[in-house]
Amino acid sequence: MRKESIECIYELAKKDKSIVFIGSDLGAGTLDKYQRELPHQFLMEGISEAHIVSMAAGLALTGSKVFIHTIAPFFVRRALEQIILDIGAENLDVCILCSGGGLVYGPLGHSHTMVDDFAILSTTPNLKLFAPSDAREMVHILQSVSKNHGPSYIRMGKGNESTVQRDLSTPLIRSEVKNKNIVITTGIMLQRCIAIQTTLKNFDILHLAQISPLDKESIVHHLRDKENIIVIEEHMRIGGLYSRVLDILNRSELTQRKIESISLGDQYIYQYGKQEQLHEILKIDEESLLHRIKECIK
Amino acid sequence: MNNFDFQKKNYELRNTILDIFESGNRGHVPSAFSLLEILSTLYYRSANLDKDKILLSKGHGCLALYAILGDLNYFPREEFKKFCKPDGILGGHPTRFKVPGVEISAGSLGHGPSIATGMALNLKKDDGKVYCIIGDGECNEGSVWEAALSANKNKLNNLTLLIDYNKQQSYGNTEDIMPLEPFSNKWLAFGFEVFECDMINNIDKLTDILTQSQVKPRIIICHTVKGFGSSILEQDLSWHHKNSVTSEEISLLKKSLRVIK
Repeated sequence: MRKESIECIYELAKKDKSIVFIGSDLGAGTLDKYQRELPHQFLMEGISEAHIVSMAAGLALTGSKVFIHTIAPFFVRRALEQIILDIGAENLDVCILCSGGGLVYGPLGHSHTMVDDFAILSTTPNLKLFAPSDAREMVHILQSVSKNHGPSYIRMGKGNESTVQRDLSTPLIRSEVKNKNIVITTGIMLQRCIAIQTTLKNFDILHLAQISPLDKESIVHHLRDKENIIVIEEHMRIGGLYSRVLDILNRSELTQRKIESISLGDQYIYQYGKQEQLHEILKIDEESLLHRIKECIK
Repeated sequence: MNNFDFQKKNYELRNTILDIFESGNRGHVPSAFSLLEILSTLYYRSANLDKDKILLSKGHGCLALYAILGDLNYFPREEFKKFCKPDGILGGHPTRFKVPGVEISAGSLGHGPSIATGMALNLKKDDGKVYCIIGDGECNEGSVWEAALSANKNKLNNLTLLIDYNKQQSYGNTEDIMPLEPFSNKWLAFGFEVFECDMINNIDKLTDILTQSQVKPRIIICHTVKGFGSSILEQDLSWHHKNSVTSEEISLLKKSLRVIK
């Protein structure tokens, strides 16, 4: 997704001179083309995330729309105060674009994985949170962010995710049979749930690429006729999509609805391994999900 | 503004600071007195207020900033009476989107220099300058030095950091708590052009420095005294942050003020 994201920002930046991109600790040559063509709009700063967030605030306060990019935990954890005070509370046009969401960097350990970003960022004022499923949705979100006002955080997947051909203007992806079960997903869990739908047809999918803020009325509308609600996310159980959906249901007339969480659980993950391997261990790979969804809706 | 009028202005501003302090019955008065001449030099003598940005990173010195902005009619002086009160816009640390004239919200230390680098990058195109006032204790924060690296890399010859070097922080002497010396050498090593300025005995020097052309990011180490201008505050560190002051104490503080020659 990163390649497409930077290319998209480059296209936007060619048309809008107020757009500035700041990268931190990216791979060699990642920005060469863009820096050559738009040297004042594509900056490469050092490994100094707290500084970059505040610097972005300074640029935004003087008229820029800023995209900042590095690996998720280094903005989310290290620069949290700067995100809250300098970007969020000030409601500035800064987009925090992060790679390595979830367990993408599983082989590198818990300093690099990002399993609690939505929890950590949940109280940041004005901050919109996104987790696209594929590059196409990512580009759609970036275009929307560039047109709208305020801060945002985007959790990117690993890259090369299969593209889901669907109408991006609606979060609802129906199965062929109308039914009483619904799976709510975000990020790269969408492709997995769609694959499961080919075997197990009796559930709908509600894909929420924007997980905060959620539109209460829309969620209640989609869930009103459902008996079983399952939230699947590559995030710890607390503070992510499940917590948000639960909160909405609790404040609606649907308080008694059965809602299950399939997530990375309650514990920090210290095990090393590729993302897919860790997903198998944590039972959110396709086969495990199939069994767990079956179990929930039987 | 000539020297006589300038020092008279600083005396009036110190009185205003004590009035605001009395209204809220709390505040960091010694810090405000320490950096007052840095801010007043910028606002009344050196900065182009139409083009330049003046950032107070050391947010707890905000009483001085409020006194100046009120004097320059950025907001009605009635706001002074509502300092730290629910119906007021002025608080113990400044909030940008509440107070006209305040360029950045501040309170947590070490944010200003990085925000200043971002602003300086943009203002370079329009010949605007960015001045950012930071504390000496604030230089304990790593983010100050991240910003310094970036200012040098981005060749920000329109960025000036002014350090309120009063050599005190809340707990005691900066040199005991976290030594900064050799301070000027550190900034030289980070690629800054470095000036030092005696704010007690040679107040005009800061104006002179600010008129000199600039080729690199600039640091001005302003040698100040915490509580400067009041014989009581200069002697007593316990005034760093006070609340529950009596009107008698305020009266004594006002009597202790002097016009600096």
